[in-house]
Amino acid sequence: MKFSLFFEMQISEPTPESEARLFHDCVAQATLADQLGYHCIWAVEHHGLYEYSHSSAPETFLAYVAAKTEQIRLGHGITLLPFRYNHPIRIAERIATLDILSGGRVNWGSGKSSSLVEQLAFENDLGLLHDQWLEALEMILKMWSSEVFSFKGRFFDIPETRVIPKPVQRPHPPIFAACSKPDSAATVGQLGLGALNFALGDDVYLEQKVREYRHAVAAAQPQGWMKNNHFACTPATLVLEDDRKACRYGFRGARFFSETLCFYYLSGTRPVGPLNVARDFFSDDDLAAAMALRNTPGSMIATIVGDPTCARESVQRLVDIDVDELILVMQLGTIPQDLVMESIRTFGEQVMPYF
Amino acid sequence: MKPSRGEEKWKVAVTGGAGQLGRLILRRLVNDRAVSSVVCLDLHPPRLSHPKLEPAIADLRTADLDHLFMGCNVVIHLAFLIGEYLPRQRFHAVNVKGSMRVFQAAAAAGASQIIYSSSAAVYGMVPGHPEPVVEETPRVHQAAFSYAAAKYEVEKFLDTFEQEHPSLQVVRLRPVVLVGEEMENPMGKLMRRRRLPSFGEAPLPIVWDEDVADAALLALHQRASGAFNLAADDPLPPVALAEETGMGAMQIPHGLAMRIARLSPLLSKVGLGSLIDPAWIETSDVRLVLSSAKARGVLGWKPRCNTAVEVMQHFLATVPQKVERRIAAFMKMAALVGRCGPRQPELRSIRLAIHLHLTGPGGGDFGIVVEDGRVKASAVPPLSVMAVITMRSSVFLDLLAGRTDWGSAQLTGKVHAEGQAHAPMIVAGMIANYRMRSQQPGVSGFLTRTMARWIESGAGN
Repeated sequence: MKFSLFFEMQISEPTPESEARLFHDCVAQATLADQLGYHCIWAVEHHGLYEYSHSSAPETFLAYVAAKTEQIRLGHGITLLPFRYNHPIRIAERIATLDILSGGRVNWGSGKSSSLVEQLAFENDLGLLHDQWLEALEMILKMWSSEVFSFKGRFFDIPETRVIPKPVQRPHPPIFAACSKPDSAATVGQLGLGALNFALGDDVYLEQKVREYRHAVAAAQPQGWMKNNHFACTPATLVLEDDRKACRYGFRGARFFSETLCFYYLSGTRPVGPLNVARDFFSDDDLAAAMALRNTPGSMIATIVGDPTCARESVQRLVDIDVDELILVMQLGTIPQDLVMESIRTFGEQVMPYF
Repeated sequence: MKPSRGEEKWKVAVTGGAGQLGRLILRRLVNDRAVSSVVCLDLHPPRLSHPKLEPAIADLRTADLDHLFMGCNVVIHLAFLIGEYLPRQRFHAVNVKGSMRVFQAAAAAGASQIIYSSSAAVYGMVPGHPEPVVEETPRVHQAAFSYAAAKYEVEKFLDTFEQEHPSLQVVRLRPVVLVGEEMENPMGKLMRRRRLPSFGEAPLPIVWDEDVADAALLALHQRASGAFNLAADDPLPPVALAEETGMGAMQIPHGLAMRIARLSPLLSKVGLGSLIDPAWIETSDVRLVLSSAKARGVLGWKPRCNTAVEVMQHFLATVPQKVERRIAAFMKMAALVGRCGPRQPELRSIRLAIHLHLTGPGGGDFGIVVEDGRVKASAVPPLSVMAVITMRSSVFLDLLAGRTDWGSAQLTGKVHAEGQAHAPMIVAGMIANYRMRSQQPGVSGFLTRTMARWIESGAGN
């Protein structure tokens, strides 16, 4: 099992000062993770998802982190490929540059965005997002593999051009895609891409998703890129020596994550924030109930919250399901920086070595 | 139950999986880590969707059971026509011959255990039984009561069948009348209206249906065999039971009840009531008091409702009498928004059928279907369900009123979700949509706000 960190860059009730601090806090988290031997840091790309995600320029963040770290891989989880967000040539150039400067440490994920907030802010035609994603994906891989690139497709007609530089990982950095819909893991598998999933449902459901993905990826015959059979998911995580403290802060953060996500992705509206979501601690009764529910049969697998013993149990569930990588969402809105740092250290020292 | 890793995994077939008891057993099986897959045979689709579940629409008289049971280690046989008053021949063909086919096919498939839901009626609903009735109490064939007779005949067949298949573990569960959240018989209908029908003085033998489902799972895990009575202790006559629990006793003179029952074939033809075998009424005066000591001792059965009074109290606490009007109004509004509101582009590629199960006073069962980018609410759960979301009606009202939030309700187990994992987010999104709209300007915002104020003024806190 590989262990990585996920950076939404969440922040509850930001001020200009706290927002600026957030970015430096995330750099500190990433460098600590590097020292402790975590596998990768994954940064998202979102636009305008106030409080839920302030990571709108992940390429800059990752480049900065690359310079401050030695081993840890640098993941785009994910780059938005519809061309109104990013022109494919610019993406190919940026990823290759980051790959060179980081010494071949880039993991590259792509996707099409699913929040109305960013879709409409960039004036996208919603019906074309999927096809634009696929066309850009094909183009970018072709840019990396051809000396002189040209392309004629549905959205682009590009004359012969040298797209430079090329990534140092040959033939290209490992590639992944976001899976946010019920059937997308299988779709992503058919394309031969690594799957970046939310951690949703119980063991049996997730196990089924992994099985569907493996089945699809085994049959995949991607043209133009190397198959990447890899299933990752993103549990909300806070692991501290003090079980109750971890739960008190961790569940509050996990709730902030799921509630804000729900407003931006499933409310059928286009909130501009701030959001009307709960930010307080659970009552003692609720906290006790949530603590008791952890790792019981049939319970959700969306969180790894508690002391190292509890965390090892949760991770074992995901190992049994045959997940390849856990992208831990420790950077959750409402959780103070010192606790995130403590959690990265505690997990790295007392959970990671067991798997 | 949490078996250690590496334990053998069972494939289980369930007949009658869409029925009252079947649904409860299916749910337990799919959530059981020792069970790798479940085949459900029924005339109707099971109200549950799960990757482990393979539903088959099957009639026990004709289905290709050899094929359906292939590879099954355990067959749980629940399918049985109970209350319906059918021509004797058809009743016999389904219940007795159908059961025989099931047992024989289970043996042929190489199953190692059969769990059959027999009935307390196997002892015969006749006067003169000892008290309490134990598993060794002689069974009496009661030809005049086709249900009891069929149960008797099936067990008689099993007596010989067991000797012919000594390696097969055969469990005979003998529950009394099942009381639970989803009773489909006339008694259940009356009980939902907080009325208990009373035809006579004999104690009403009842048991909570989830306790019976638990017993089936215990029998499975312990590889048990033999007969097990399943009844709540201290049964009371209906009038006393109603008095004890604050329900209304509906005393129907025996003679009148008999006349209604005899007329029921005629009445049901013109659309009044359902067919009732008059024998159900005739035998309601018989004392049948069972001891479940063996199930407790051997299976370790720990029913959540130990006594008949507890069964009834549990029913009153969990089974809604009438949908709370705020919930009803919200669901109507959600149905309207789903039909006429704008499509949600982010839902375009999602198709989901959700059963929203609200328990407790004021609750009810609803459907939420996602298709064509719309979230369509309806007053009935969809037939073929991909996920079940369960919570108390008071929690649902708290969510609508913003007194609690979905994230904590799910993390604390107040909301329980099964099946397709996006389903809880869809319901959460539907509530978020409503809360967002109540903050918007314009007519729709005003109407939603007015409704929100009314909902927030309601029960809860």
